[in-house]
Amino acid sequence: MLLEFTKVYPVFSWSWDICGDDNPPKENEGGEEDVCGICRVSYNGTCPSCKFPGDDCPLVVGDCNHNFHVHCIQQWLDTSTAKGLCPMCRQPFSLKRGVAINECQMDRLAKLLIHAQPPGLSDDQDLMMEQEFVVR
Amino acid sequence: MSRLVKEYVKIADALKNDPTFSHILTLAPVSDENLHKWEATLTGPPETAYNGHKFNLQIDIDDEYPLKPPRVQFQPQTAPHCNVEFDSGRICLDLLEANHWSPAWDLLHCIHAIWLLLANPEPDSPLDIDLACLVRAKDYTAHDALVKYYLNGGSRGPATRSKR
Repeated sequence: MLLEFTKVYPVFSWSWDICGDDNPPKENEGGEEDVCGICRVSYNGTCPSCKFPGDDCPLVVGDCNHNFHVHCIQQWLDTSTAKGLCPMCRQPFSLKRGVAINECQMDRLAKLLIHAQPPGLSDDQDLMMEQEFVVR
Repeated sequence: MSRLVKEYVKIADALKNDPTFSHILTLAPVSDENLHKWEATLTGPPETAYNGHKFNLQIDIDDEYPLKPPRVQFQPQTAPHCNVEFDSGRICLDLLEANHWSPAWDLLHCIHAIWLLLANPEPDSPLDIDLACLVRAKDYTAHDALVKYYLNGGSRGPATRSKR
C-alpha cells in the first residue's frame, strides 16, 4: 500500500515543569486539575489580571510544595496581613531551589520577602546582638 | 472576580451533592448581577439549643477578596450566641479577621466554620457577656434555656423593654 501525506496538522501541548530534582512527578489523584490556591485557576491558566498563559503569567513552586501564579502570590505577600506566609500551610513562603521555572523569579520574590518580614523582627535582632555584645 | 464565579458554581454543586454541607440551606449572591453581596441560610446544629431554627447570614465581599476576608454577619437580632453581637449580628471568629485570613479559605468553608461556631461557643473572646459567663461556668442548662428564650422572641433587657 502506498500512503501519500497531503497535509500535516501538528498539535502541541505544554504544562509547567513543577518538579524539582528531588521531586519526581506525581500522579494526579481524583482527576481534578491542579489550581492556584489563591485565584483557583489551573496552574497552566492565567491569574485574573492576565490574558495569555505561559511566560506572561508564570507559575512558581514554594519550598513547602505549594504552587501559585507568581502574580497571585506576589499580591498576597504584598498585603500586610500575609506576614510573608504561604496561604495554604502558613509556613514562611520561599521559592524552592533547583526548580527551573523558579530561577527567573528569585530576585523578585526575595525583595518582597524582605519587605514582608514582621515589623518586630528587626528590633529583636538588634536586641539579640546587643545582648551578645554585653555577654562578651 | 472570576474566582467568585468559580466559587458560585462549586458551591451550587456542593450544596446539592455533598452531605457535609447539608446544614447550609442556601448560599448564593442576592442577585446574579452583583457578586459582591451574598446571603446564606443555616439550620441550627442538632443537639444544640439552635436545633430547629434557621439563621440568615449577610455576606459582603469587596474587590480585594480573596486577599482580604469576606464580611459575614448574622441578620441583626436573630442569633443569641456568646461570639455574636446580638443587636448587630457581628461575629467574632478569627478566620474572618484580616490578620488570620488566608486566600486558601473560601465562602463555603467560612459559612461552614460559622455553623461549627454555633455548636462550639468560645467564651474567651465573647461579644455576648451573659452567654459567655454561663458557658464559662459550664452551666449549659441555663445557657441553652437563655438561648431558646431569645430565639423564641424573648426580650433582651431594659433597653428593649422600655420601648414597649
